[in-house]
Amino acid sequence: MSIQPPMVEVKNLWVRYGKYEAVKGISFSIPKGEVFGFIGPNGAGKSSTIKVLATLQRDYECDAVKINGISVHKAPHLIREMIGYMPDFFGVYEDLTAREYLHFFAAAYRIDRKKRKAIVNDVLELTDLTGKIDAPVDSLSRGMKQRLALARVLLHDPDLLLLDEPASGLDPRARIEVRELLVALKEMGKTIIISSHILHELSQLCTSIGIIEAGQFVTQGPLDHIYKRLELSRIVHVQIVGEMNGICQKIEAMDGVKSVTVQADRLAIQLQEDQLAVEDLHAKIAATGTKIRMFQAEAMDMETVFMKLTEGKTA
Amino acid sequence: MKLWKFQFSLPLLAKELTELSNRRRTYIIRTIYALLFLGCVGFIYIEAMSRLQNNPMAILGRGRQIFESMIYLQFIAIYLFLPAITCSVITQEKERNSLGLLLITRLSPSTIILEKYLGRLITMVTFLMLGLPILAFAYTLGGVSPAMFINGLWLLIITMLQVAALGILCSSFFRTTVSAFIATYLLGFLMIFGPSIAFELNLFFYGDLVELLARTMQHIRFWSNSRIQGIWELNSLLFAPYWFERFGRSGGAISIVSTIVFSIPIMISTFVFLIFSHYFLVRRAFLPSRNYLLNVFKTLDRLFSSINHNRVTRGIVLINDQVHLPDDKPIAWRETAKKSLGTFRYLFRILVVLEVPVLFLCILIATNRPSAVVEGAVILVWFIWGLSVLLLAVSATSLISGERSHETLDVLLTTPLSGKNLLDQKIAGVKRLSLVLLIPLLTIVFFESWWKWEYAQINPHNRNQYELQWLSYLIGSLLTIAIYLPMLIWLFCWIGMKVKSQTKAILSSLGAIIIWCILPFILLFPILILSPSFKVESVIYGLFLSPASYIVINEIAEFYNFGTTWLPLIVNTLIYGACYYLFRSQCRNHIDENLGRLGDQESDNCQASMFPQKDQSLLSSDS
Repeated sequence: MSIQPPMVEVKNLWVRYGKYEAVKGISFSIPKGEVFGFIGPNGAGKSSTIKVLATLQRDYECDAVKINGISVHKAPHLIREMIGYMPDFFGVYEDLTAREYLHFFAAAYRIDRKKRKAIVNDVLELTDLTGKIDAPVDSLSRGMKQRLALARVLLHDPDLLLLDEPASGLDPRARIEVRELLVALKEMGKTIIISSHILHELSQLCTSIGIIEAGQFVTQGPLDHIYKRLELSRIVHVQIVGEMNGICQKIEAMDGVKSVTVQADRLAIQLQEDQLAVEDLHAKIAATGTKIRMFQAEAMDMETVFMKLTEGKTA
Repeated sequence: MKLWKFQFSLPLLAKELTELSNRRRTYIIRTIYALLFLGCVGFIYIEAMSRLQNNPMAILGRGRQIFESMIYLQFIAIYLFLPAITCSVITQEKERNSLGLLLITRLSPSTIILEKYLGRLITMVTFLMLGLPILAFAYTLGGVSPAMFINGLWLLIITMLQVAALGILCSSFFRTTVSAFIATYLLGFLMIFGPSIAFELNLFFYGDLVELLARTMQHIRFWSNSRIQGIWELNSLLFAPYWFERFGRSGGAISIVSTIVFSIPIMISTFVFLIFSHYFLVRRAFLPSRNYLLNVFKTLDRLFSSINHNRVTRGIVLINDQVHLPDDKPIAWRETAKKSLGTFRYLFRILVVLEVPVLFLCILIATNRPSAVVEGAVILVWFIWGLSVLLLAVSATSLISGERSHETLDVLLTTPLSGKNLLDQKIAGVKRLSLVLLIPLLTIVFFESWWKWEYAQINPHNRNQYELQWLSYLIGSLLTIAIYLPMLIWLFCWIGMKVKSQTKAILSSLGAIIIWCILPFILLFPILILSPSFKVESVIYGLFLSPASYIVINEIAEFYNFGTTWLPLIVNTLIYGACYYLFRSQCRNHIDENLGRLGDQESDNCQASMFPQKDQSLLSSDS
């Protein structure tokens, strides 16, 4: 039985612009169906790496850059059929409507003429833009343009989506909309590489991340593993009904609890999740007979990870 | 120690000059200008020396010839270069979205205009100052009167002020550098030659008006006393070189006074241009992106549609130009269905606008003055060639650079379309445009050929036999049109691929074609300077290094030096046929390389990686 190749395989990739080294020998591999978050400050080499995968970078050195087992350099025309690329800017054809824009790219991707209408309607529905089908592209809001770009990327049903900062410059609502759309794509089984320097949006979406700084990976792997590797603990906020006599000591004595801090109206419990799960903590506190008014686990703080691992360097 | 701080009270001017001095191209252009200028003057000097029959002392007193040539060269430099230097001064700020930031500072609009104006004037002055050593040299040779000196300098200065003000006005009015560039040259042309053309053709009764004005002014004492040669002189009131020609050569205070008096209209025009620049600066600071040509066409659509809806025609549409969705060639569809210079209906309108006056003028010319070479038709051919170059430069260079400017190129390049296919589709709209331009050109060529043939029947013993050779004229013109139009398209397209910004690409294309046209003459200077006895006739075919040469020679039938009409035709066809194939192959075979994406025939350089792996991140998954 043949082993299925990873969707993306990059080995020892170097990208140079003159003397400037944008990417310095990075390697990574992404299995099919994963959402890989490419995180790093501006100028870290994220866009350059994505451009290599999108066949838009002519000059680079590598041991291997493959998508679905096919070398990007050897068969760029095949790669273009497999990828959907969304750059970090959204250039518009001012003279086209949303329908014309999508039909334009459907024709460019050589989609069968008979199927185009149905596909365009499907992607517009998925991106919630059906109502804007005849609106000029130029008149759409930035968030809508971003969703239209995602619709374009999905036209030819690519295996791999390369999304370079898809939520940059969007307002919170538009950002949430884009994130929900990406979650839907993730559920559809698409492999996604998404770059961003906004960490919060990635933490809720990615199955694994790679933090890149000055052209080199600082770390990569599943989020949980990174948290564990860095020994980062989760904070759980608990409000208790009545007096707190002795409760702090009882909680502190539990295995997996690092510390308990008494705050104005609550306890902040520092938890090591590999030793004690959040739900088990809740059960253990309840078992002591304490009445719990509020129990809230803080989201894992990727910003802390980022700040801990990076030094603010550029390549 | 307290440091002495230099505080410039004109911050914008200081910024302009700092930017200018930081650019490498400032020094390159200045050096090229100096070489060209010194070459021209050197050429004139050598020619003057060659007539002195080996008596170097005879050069004394002949400074006037060098001085006059120098002044005329400076006039040409001002008219040619200053519009290009000034037209981008405000539009650049608009394109960078920085004009708003300037307007919210304490700088008033008039200060912004004046500082920008001064910045560009200083640039031009640095160019003109390169002529100072020649001026001093000419003056020491003798023959240049102080009045001539003052008149020359005065007229150069006010011409510079006038042209720079016109450039600033266009820059203040238009949104993009390209439209300001075209408008500055067009308005400049109209300002200089417009009154003469209107006077000759009596357009809008302008000729009658000028005559009436002249008759009225005869009663004014200064007017009757000044040496006016004719009422047509009133048409040159805004053209300083004419007044240098009129008063520059005579000495005395009266010539200075006359020059100053007749340069008042130039000063008034300068002032008016500056006032209007100030007026438009804020009002047109934040213009939305608008396709003026498309808007004009849409207005015409509405007008024709309303006229069409009457009792007789009842809105009948003969050719339905509905925009359908793209089929198999999406890029060609967009170029031909969605762009003003590609859509059939709109191109037909451009054709009508060009063809009707051409036909009208052909009839007018034919019935006017019978001669083998019809001057009007010749000028018309050159004019349409100029217009073709301009339109093709704008549309062909924008094919790729426009996609780059609108940030749509990367997305297009990740589609599975091959480079050649992409380019062939892109060029479809420009090909249509070239077909439209072809029709008026062919009309005049066929008209002239027929005219030559007719004239040969009536007057077979014409002084210049070449003027009657209609067949060689016809074949030469047809071949030139057939080769030049596609050659220009590929050349401009290639420049558009190489130059990143759309504006720079268009300006570079126009600059390249102008330099190419004057190339043989530039190449001739060093030869003539190094060897004054060199016979130009021995390299006469070198003229065809300029694409404009054959068009000019064929139109005016100046084949004396060649002795035949056919050999120049063959040489020119071979040269430009080769250029056409070169540009075409450069564009088509290197498209992926020029656009910066991986081509389908790339070698796999991954295996050849010579970089050490020790630098690889220890935390990477492969480690």
